[in-house]
Amino acid sequence: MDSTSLLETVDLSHSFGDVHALRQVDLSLVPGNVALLGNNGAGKSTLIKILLSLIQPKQGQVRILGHDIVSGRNPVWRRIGYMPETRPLVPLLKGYEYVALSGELYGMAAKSARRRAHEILNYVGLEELRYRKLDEYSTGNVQRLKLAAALVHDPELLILDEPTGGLDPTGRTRMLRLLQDLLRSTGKSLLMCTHLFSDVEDLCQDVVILHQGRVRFYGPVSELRNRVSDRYQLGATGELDAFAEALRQTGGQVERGKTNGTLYFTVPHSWRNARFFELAESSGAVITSLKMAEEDLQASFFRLTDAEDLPAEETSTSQRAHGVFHAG
Amino acid sequence: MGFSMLVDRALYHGWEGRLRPRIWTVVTLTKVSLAQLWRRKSFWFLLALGLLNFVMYFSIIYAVTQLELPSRAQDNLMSRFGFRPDAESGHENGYVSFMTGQGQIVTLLLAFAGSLLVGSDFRLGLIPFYRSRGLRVRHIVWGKLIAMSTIVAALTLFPAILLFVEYGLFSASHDYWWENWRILVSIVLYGTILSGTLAVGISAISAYLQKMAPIAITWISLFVVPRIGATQMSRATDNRMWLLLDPWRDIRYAGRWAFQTYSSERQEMQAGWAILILSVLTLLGLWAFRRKVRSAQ
Repeated sequence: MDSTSLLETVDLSHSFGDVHALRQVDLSLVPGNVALLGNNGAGKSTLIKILLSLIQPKQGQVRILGHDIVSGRNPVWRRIGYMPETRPLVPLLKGYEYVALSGELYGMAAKSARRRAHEILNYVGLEELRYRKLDEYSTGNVQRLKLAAALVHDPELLILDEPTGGLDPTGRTRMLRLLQDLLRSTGKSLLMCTHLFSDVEDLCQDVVILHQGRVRFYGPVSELRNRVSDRYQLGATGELDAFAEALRQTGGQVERGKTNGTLYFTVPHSWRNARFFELAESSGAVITSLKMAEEDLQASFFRLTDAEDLPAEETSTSQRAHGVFHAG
Repeated sequence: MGFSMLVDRALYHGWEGRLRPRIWTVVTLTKVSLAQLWRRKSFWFLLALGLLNFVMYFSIIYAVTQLELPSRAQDNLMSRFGFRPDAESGHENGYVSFMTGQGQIVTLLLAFAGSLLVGSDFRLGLIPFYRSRGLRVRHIVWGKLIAMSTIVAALTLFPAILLFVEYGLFSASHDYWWENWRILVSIVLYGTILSGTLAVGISAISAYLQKMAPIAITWISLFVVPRIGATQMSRATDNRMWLLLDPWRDIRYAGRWAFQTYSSERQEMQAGWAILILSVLTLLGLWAFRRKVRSAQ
């Protein structure tokens, strides 16, 4: 295992009873900004819990910032700042006390933690609210407060769980700008769990897609986006079922569009477009339109995580909203 | 002022400093827990209520040592509160009586503190927050238990030590300190038993029930229901050993053990059993509390 990598897992597996949360996950992430994407139950939270040593994996090895965390002997948590998705706010504390508490729990001396708390609250834009009690903070301010609590000890790696979750557009923009500024000016690494694809595009270079406990994709965000080039939208009449089956026989992936007569086809390796017409003719169908399918990051994600698992209405609604389905 | 200006104005600065060993987090958790409690007005009300008994004992000691009361009135006053009639030192039973009495108001205070200091940790997802900062289960358990014990000690152990000191200051001779040091040791021992058992008990219950109403009902029931059952069984069978089912009586018997104030062999045996029962209950509570903290991910 490479000691200079951000995160390295080998054959990492974990299960809760009969439920396999992670299955033989092999990852090697280089320092930088990485997004962790996946549906609910994909294994993201389990992976984060393992990284934070909240649970011990049933199998496999994990190194984070060069430290083996399964052995638990290395104080790597001090180099990590974690911002949870939930609101773990200590009742009756004020803003600066909460951040200072986080610093002390990371190991800072009380005085040092208090001083640093004021400094970091100033940075995240909460200097005027720092003496307020936590129950007076809005959702947006709580998100920034949690970020301050993760940053207080100046960690090398930030693990952020849904940093823009629950924020209105203005709050989300503020948080993203803050993170962009932070990552650009400090060179810290980021591992971010999110459901918002635009956050990924704004903040991350690399993306890991988990699905049912397995890694479906790991690579640059740009590569994920470029995958759309192998996907076509077809309009056809006649024997549509036979045509779809003929396309499927070639090894490609066929999806039915919501509109009758529309097919989406992900072509197999070394495909010639003339094959569309040959197959249509042989199966009794007539192609009325053929074009490259427009697809954004979210649609690529759905495709990689078997969007057909979703209920039909949900799939069609969400994909249509993001430009996958077009009336043909 | 735009937000981008805010970010530009306040640039991020790194932090370089030494981080302390993890054991310090126990102190941090204790400190924050107590700070949380001190910010509740109801805590100060219960604390004041609990200290009324202390003020009464304090006044009695003052009265019998400093005021020239008729000797019969003095004897009556002293024996009524468990002190030795000669008024030269605090009789051990006086301290047992005082600390056990204080313990009853402490149970009320703990029912309130349990939901705030332990229940909310589970309810609001604070255990994973602590653990994500590198704390082990034992750090959280000890941090919370020390905070709870401090609350109990604030109303039992510390006031009892003050009463002991008061006696010493009002006594005619410095020999008081040398002759009665065993009483101080017993006060500390009994205070530790009282603080430890009550802290573990309320922490375990609060970890599972989490909200104030169920915690208070269960906690107070633990001291009321077994007492009724123990009394009934003892009467029905004419066997006083049944009284050991009452945890509050066990705590009182443990006080006798700490101060070695037995008036009969039966009392000595009951004290031994009481210590055993309290030890088992405390260990069970500790196990349950630890298990709950461990399972909170």
